[in-house]
Amino acid sequence: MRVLIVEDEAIIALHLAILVAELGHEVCATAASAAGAIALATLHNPHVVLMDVRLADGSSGIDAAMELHAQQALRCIFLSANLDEPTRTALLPYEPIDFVGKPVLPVVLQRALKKAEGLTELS
Amino acid sequence: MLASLSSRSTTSASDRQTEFQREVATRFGLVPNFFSSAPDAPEIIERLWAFAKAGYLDNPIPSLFKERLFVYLSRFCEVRYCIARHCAFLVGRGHSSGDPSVAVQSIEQAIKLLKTPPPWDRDHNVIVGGLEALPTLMEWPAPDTEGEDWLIAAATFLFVEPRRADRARSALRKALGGNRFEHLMGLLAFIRTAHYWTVLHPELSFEDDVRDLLKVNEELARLLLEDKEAARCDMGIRLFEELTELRELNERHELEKAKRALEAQVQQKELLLKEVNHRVKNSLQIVSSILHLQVPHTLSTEAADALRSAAARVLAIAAVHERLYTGEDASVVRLDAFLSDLCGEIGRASGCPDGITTDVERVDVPTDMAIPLALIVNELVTNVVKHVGPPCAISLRSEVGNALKLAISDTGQGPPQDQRRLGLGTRIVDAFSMQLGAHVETTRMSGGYTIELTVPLAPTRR
Repeated sequence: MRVLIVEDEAIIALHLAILVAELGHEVCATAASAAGAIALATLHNPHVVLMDVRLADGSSGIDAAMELHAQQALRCIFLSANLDEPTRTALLPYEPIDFVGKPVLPVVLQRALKKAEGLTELS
Repeated sequence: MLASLSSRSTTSASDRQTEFQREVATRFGLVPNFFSSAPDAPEIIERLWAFAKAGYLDNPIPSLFKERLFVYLSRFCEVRYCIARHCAFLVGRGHSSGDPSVAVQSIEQAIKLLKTPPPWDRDHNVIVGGLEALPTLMEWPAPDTEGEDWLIAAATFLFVEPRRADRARSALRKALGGNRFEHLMGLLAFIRTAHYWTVLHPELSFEDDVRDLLKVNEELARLLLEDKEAARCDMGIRLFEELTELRELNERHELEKAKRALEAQVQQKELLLKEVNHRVKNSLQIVSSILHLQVPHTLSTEAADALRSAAARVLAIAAVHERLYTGEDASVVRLDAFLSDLCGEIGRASGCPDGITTDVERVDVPTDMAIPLALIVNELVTNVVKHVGPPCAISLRSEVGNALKLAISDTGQGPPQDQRRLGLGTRIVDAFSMQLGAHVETTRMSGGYTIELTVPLAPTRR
C-alpha cells in the first residue's frame, strides 16, 4: 500500500516512516500541515493516509481529512494523543479506518494498516 | 445677671415639666420615655400629649381594643419602641390606653395577637367581606373575637397603605357608622404620629419595665424585636414586596454569575489538563521515536540490543500513557486490553507475533500501579522470548481478597539455580515487585517454568 503520513513533529514523522516501511508498506510522502497533505495526496494518490489530528500552522487533521474524503474518497487512520469521544465523533463522517493513540505501539499501527489493506483489497 | 435670669426661667420650665410628668404618670402608671423625648422644647411634647389624649387616651373607643390595635399596628414600624412599650401596657406594666381599670392581658394573649398574620397574607374577601356583610352597625368587639379580628385587619390595610385601601375604608365606615369610624381614624392618626416621632428620635430608649419584660419571655422578645413586617409602613405593601423580589432576583443573579464563573474555571482547568496530557504523550512519543531511530545507526550488536531494550522500556511506559485520560475515569487504567497489546508488541518486535498468548480478565488498576506492572511484564516476557523462546503464556486474574495474580509461563527450566541473576531486567522486576508489595513465587515443572506475582490491590486510590 502507498501510505501518506501527515504528522507535524519531524522526529515522530521519521519514526512513523521507518515503522510503516518495516511493516511492509511504501511511504509515498510525508506532510506536516493540512494544505501539504491535500497537495501531496493529489500528487501521489495514496491508498491510505496516516493522519495526525493536530497539525502544523495550527491546522487540523480533521479539516484535511474532510477535504481528502470529499475530493478523493480517501480514508484515514487517525493518530492522536487525545482520542476522546468528542474527537472520535467529529471524525465519524469521514469514515475513519481506525484510531491509533499516541504514543504509538507499533503492533497497534500494524493492526490498523492490516485493516486498511483489507479495505483496499475489497474496493 | 444673665446666668440668674436663665436659671430662673429654667426653674419655671422645670416646674411645668414636673406637673406635666405627674399627669402622664397618673394616666399610664409610669412616664414613658416618649413623653420626655424633646427636653429642648417641652411645649411640643405637651402638644403631643394633647393629641395623645384626643386620639388615644380619651378616645371613646374601649381601652383594651385601642391598646390591642396600637400594639398590632406597631408591628409595621421600623423603630421598635412603640410595639414594646404598648405591649408592656397590655400585659400590665402601666395602664393600657391610660386606663387603670382595664383588664390586664396575659403574655400568651399578647403573643397570639402579635402572631396574627398580616391581612395581605390572608383572604381579603373573608376579612373585608365579613365587615361588608354585617346587617347592622357593629358594637366595639371584645378582644380575640372574629369581629375584633376583622376590624384590626381592615384597620391595618388602611393604616399601612391608606391610598390603596378604599374597600377597607368603606367597609369600616359601613360597619361602624360615621362617628365611630372617625374616632378610629383619630386613633390611627395618633398611632402614625407616635411611630413617626420615634423614627425622628432614634435616641429613644426602652424603659426599665420594658427591658425586664423582654427578659421574661423569649418568644415575646423575638416577636417584639425581630418582626420581618417592620419595614412595611415606611414603604407600603407593594414597594416592600417589590424590594423583596428585587433582593431575591439579585441573589439569584449573583448565584448565577458565581456558577458561570465556576463553570468557566472548571472548563479552563479541563482544557489545561488536556493540553498537558497531549504534550506529555507527544513528548513520550518523541523520546520513544528517537531511541528507535538510533538503533539502525549503531554499529555494535551489543549497543543495538541495549538501545532496543531501552526503547522497549520507554515504549512500555509510553503505552500506559496512551491509555491514560482516554476513558471517563482518569485515575484508573484498564489493564487487560493494555497487556494484550503490550505482549503483541513484544512478540512483533522480536519476530514471533503469535508466540505470546494472553489470557487476561478485565481489571482496572490505579494509574500508579499500571507503569510498574507494564515494566514487569515487559521484562519477564522479553526475557522469555530472548532466552527460552516462544511459546509464552501470560495470565491475569483478580483474586478474592482484592489482589491480582499475574503469571508468566514458558517451556524452559528457569535460570540456572546457582547463578545469581543480576541483569537490569531482574533488578527492574525486583524493584517494582517491592514497590507494589507483590509476592513472587516461581514453580519449576517438567513441562516448564512459571513466575507468579500476587499483587495486593488497594482500594482505588484517588
